Amino acid sequence: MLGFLRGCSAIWRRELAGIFMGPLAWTLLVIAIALQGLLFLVYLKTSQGDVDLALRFGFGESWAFWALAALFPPLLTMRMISEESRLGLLEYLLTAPVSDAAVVLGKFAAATSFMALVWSSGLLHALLVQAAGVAPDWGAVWGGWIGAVLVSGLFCATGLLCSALTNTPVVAAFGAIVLHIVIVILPLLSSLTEARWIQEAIARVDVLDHHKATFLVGVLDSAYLGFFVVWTALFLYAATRSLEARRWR
Amino acid sequence: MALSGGERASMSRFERWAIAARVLTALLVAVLCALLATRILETRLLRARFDLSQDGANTLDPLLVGVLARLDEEVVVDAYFTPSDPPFEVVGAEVQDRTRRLLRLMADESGGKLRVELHDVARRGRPSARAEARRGELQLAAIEPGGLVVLSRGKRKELVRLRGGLADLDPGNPDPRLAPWAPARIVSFRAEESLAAGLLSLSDDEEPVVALVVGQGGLDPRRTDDFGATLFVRELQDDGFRVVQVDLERGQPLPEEARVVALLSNAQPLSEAAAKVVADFVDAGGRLYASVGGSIEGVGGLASVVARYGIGIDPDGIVARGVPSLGGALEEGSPACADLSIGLDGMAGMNQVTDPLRAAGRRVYLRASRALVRGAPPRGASVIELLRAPDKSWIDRPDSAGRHDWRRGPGELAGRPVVAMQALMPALAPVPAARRRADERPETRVLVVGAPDVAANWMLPQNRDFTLLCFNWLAARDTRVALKRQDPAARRLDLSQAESLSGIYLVAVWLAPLACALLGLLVWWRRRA
Repeated sequence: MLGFLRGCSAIWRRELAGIFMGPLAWTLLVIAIALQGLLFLVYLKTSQGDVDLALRFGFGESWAFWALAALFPPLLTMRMISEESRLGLLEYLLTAPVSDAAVVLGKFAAATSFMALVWSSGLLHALLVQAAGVAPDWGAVWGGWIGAVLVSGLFCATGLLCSALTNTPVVAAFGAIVLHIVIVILPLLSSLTEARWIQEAIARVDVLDHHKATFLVGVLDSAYLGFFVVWTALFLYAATRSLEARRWR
Repeated sequence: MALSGGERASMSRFERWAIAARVLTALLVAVLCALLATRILETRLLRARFDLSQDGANTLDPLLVGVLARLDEEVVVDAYFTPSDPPFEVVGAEVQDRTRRLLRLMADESGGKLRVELHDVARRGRPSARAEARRGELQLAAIEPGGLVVLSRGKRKELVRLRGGLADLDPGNPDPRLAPWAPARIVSFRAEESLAAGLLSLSDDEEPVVALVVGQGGLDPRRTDDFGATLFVRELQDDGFRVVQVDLERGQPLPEEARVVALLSNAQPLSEAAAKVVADFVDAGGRLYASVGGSIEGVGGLASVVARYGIGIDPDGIVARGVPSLGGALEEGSPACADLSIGLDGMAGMNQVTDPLRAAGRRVYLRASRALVRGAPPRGASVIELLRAPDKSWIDRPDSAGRHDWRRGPGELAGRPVVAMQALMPALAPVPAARRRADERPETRVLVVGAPDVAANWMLPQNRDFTLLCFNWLAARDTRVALKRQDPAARRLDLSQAESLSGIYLVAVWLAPLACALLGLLVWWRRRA
């Protein structure tokens, strides 16, 4: 177990360094922070100065959040396996004394850490309104941030799976983005049908609702936490299996 | 052990399909496992929940949790939300959003006994077929702007409207020409309380009848202006009562199933015959609600009607209290001295009417109230002083011309006069079969409020809870709760102050991204070096 964690940690550090050494991560970070800052001001104005509502918009109540959440993880994860495989670097990694699961988990942790940093701009906004004299509901702010990180974690896991399934990063990113769009617009399909069983089935896998109903309003619920952990674990498991299958090709 | 090119080529089509089928099966099993795991995690035994919000906005009041736990069969909650009319568009949407979250919490807490259906009627004129079908089943004629929530159990239903039910809204001032512009705002979000009351009303199969006596110049249930009682009737109906108007002077009899008779601030005394009808009704285990009007003394005056139950009315004094000045001192000499705001210290303790108000920190507002005094109650009666005026009040007596000076004179009684009283006693006469209830002792209940306008349209919004609690006590119903309301007014940034917004703009839109960009450039430069 200790060896697994050590391997995970090594991969995480390596991937994180890889992310921040390249221009893509910095570009994404600058775009995200500027866009979120601008949108936060728009939310503040439209909500007539309601700071909690404006912060909630930034952490998941708005379509801009879901657009960033669906778009950024695939751009980060697209190269993690497919590019390394194409360049032949993956062979070195797979022959190193770390398990496939540790490789996938380390890469996943690095991508999710970056997304956690992206969502930290919401914490900065909360600090700014506090400095302006209105203390936000910090419980809801932290809840929203945790939820945003969990959503990003899930999307990073799907991104890694797509990356593990192909040798072309662009195809991996495209596949993951399509998958994320499906996940995000799934609840809309629920309103198009009258069949209750379809609505209930969609409600069981509705990522938006699982984030908005709890984390976004400042609630930590083990059932909803479990939802994200279980589905993220499922995609990571599939990614690990896919990586493992590369040995057989 | 990797497959060689030859081995791969020698694989038959059947073997390839078999591998594909195994992969798909494994995926399917994994998805099913995930679904099962999430289902298991939702069970109450394994579930833990922590509300991080500052004001406990995501935690249900223990009273509501108790109500949900006592539900014995499924209750369906249909929420029809439509855009609110101006100027409530923004606050209306906020109330709807908070109500949705509350309904989600309630459904989670009920363990399946509460089924919530959120109907999409946002696009006016194009509601979904399901929404239309439910609307037909619930016999809703129209959905008002803002929408409403309908609680139903079998054929019984309770309606909770957005404005006045889910929340109290203030329109603010949308026209800056008359006064400084002020946005519409939520005065208090009371959905939890309204939904709890609705659930309790649903589980109570009876619909108590209130006979409202008209024709004596009291508050008119048909008048919609300040001194009408249309709101009073609507609130009672929303709370599960049936209100019937009876003109005793024209010989109309009290309905056999009447549970409470209400005399709302009558200007003229009842005739002898009408007073006898009321007295016979109350003596035989009936219930009487009376607010003091202009007809106090004489035959048929309210004083003679309620005196037999041990409640006396001071005929010519009005309870007054100094008006707090800016400096905090109490000033006299203004008609505003007749306005009383009664808080915790003026309410009786251990009482079904006042306990919910005390628990929720509510006040009762009365104006031009008469003082009530303890009279000679019948044997076995208990008379309770329900509300007392605030400290340092006095009974202001008019001069010979009938004018009040609103100053405490030497002969004017100072202290804390009683302004509302209730009396409870065994029925003084046999209870008719139509009104007899197997689960209840036959008893007479009387409640008198000294203020004439307490149930008038202009005052009812402030005293809604008090009035409904009074009627629920009279009807011996335990269906009214008062929960702590959430007032989301505090965390709002003043957008008219340019400095606060420009500071946020500078840091959030420029400085933070710029710092990131510089850091990125630094990393790039160091790597290059």
